[in-house]
Amino acid sequence: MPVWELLVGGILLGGLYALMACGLNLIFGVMGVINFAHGDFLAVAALITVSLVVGLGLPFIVAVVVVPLLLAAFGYVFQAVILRRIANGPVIMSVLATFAVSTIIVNGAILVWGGSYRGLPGVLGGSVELFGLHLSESRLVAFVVAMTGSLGVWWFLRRTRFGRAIRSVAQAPELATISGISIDRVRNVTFALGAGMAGLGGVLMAPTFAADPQLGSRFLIKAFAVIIVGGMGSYPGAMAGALLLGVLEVFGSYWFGPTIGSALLFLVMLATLLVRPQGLFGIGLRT
Amino acid sequence: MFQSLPRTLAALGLLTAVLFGAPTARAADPIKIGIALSMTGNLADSAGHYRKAIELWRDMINQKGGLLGRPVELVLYDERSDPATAARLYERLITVDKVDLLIAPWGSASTATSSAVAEKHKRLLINAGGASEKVQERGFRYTVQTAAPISAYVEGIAPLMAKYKYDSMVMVSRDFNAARDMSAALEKIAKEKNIKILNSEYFPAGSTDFSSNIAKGRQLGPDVWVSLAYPNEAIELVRQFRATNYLPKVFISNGVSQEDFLKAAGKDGEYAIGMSLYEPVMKTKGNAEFAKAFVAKYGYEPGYFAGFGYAGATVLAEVVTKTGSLDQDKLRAELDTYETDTVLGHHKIEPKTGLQVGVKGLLIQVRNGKREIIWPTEFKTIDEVLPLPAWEQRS
Repeated sequence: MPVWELLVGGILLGGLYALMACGLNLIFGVMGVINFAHGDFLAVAALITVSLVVGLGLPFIVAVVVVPLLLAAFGYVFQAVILRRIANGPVIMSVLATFAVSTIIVNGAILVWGGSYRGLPGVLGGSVELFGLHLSESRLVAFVVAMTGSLGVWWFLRRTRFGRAIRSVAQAPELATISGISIDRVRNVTFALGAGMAGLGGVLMAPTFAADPQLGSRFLIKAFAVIIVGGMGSYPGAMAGALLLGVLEVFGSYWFGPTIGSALLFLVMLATLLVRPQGLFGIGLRT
Repeated sequence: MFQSLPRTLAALGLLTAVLFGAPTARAADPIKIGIALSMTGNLADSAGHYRKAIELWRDMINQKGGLLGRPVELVLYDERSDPATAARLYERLITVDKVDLLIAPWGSASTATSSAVAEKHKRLLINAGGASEKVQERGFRYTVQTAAPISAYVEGIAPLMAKYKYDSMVMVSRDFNAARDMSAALEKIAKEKNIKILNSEYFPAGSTDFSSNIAKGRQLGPDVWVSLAYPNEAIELVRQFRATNYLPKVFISNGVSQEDFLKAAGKDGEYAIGMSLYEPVMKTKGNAEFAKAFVAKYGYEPGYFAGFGYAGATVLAEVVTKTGSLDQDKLRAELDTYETDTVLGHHKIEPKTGLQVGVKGLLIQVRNGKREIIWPTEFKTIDEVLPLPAWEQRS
């Protein structure tokens, strides 16, 4: 059995899952908003990237900068115009609102880009040889960005004044208001950050996967699984969860076939919910 | 007063006729053709090409005066890539929309469920998008296949392997009816030709990572890797081959034979081999006109998803014209022995099952960003390059 090849493949796959879960962890894990449109943010970001690089001939690095900013702006408006108005209502309202926006985004993307698959041939498509193993360039970059981004957000939430404000708003909004924190502003900025991170995820997914308006649906549930297994709001937990699920999926697929390998992820998610609902890393930022 | 009664009654009669219409169809009434196909869900992309070709056929036939002198109208629904929804929508097309004719959805799973509904209502269903033989082997009288059957997909593989003395393969396919049928057909061929199948596995729809399959492939070292997959999976497979520096001697997939693959895989897709059933360069009846109109309308060359849709609609129109009728039993009886040529090649069915036996398969290879036919000889446009050149040897 090619243990090292499978292990490296699993870790790099976990890096991709961590990348997808990065923004979602902020929105779902910290703010507690179940954002069904998160996968569609990834898809739109990947499609915009293809349009910028293939359509307009711009360097990939331009997309790395521009697309997350565009998504962050969209996220800010989405939160300020829609989610803010229903923030104090039952959870089901935000679930339905994000579901509606998800449908609109997918159909809007079909109108703009059509339903076909697009790609970024020639961008980060090669491999890097390390100890006789060939590592995918695009997955390696995604892995590094996911780990750096996760640690960065973790530090930001723990160590900065605004990070503490985000946690206060999520955990005790009334006390936060009394302390002089503008709840609306904090929520708007947090959602924008989460959407921007989804944008970065989408940009880095474009060289790896065939992008189409429904790309997000193939990954959303896995991103939720990563956060649930890792522990809601816990960035170290999400990183560990993503790597664990990536490795499990690759080894599971090798031993039992791809169908059972994919199902293992959800079995672990289910087991976590039943046995350790706080996730691997114990109590996250939200309890 | 009574003198004017007959005139009043005649006027009332005329008014009634105008308001409620005559019981029989008028010349200007459109012939309605019902189709439920995936506009969303995991088959939306492939069904999109099928739909475009049928819409193009509608425009073309209407420009020529329609069918039986009546314009053709399509009644389309989104079955969301869900076979159960497809069945419900065909029930609706038959009982609520009261369409005159039916064309099947894209894909064998939805065709299987919708054909059961058509059979219940004794309505002819042109199976233009379901390749699985199992759909036809259930003894349904009213389902007639114009799509190429699964055996046609794989018939070029053994001759190609024999030419290069390749004797081993792995099969890694998306799990759906047609792939299971293809595996069965390939296993039968492999047994006859002494080809070793080193591994055969299926991945679920929505799979995006093939690390474990590639690790297994590297370990087993097959000559040929066959994947019955959709274009996104074929794109991701060749990208992951490249990103992990893996390459079998031959990579064959039906997903290669679509425009999306050429565009999205770029140079990574060069030399990949596609199972195809239609190519725009084929010199088949009406193909030049179809391919030209398709490119003019949609801006890209049609692949076999589109060819299937156009061929199905063509056969349906020809039997309607020949019988001069929309009577379902007359149409079905005519189809028993009806042979014709379409953009796919020769159309002929086995009368008992309605299974397509005329259309043959092709193998194409991607060369300089275009699909070139490498098998069979009569349609060949280029000599194949095999084994696949190593990644580092490519520019």
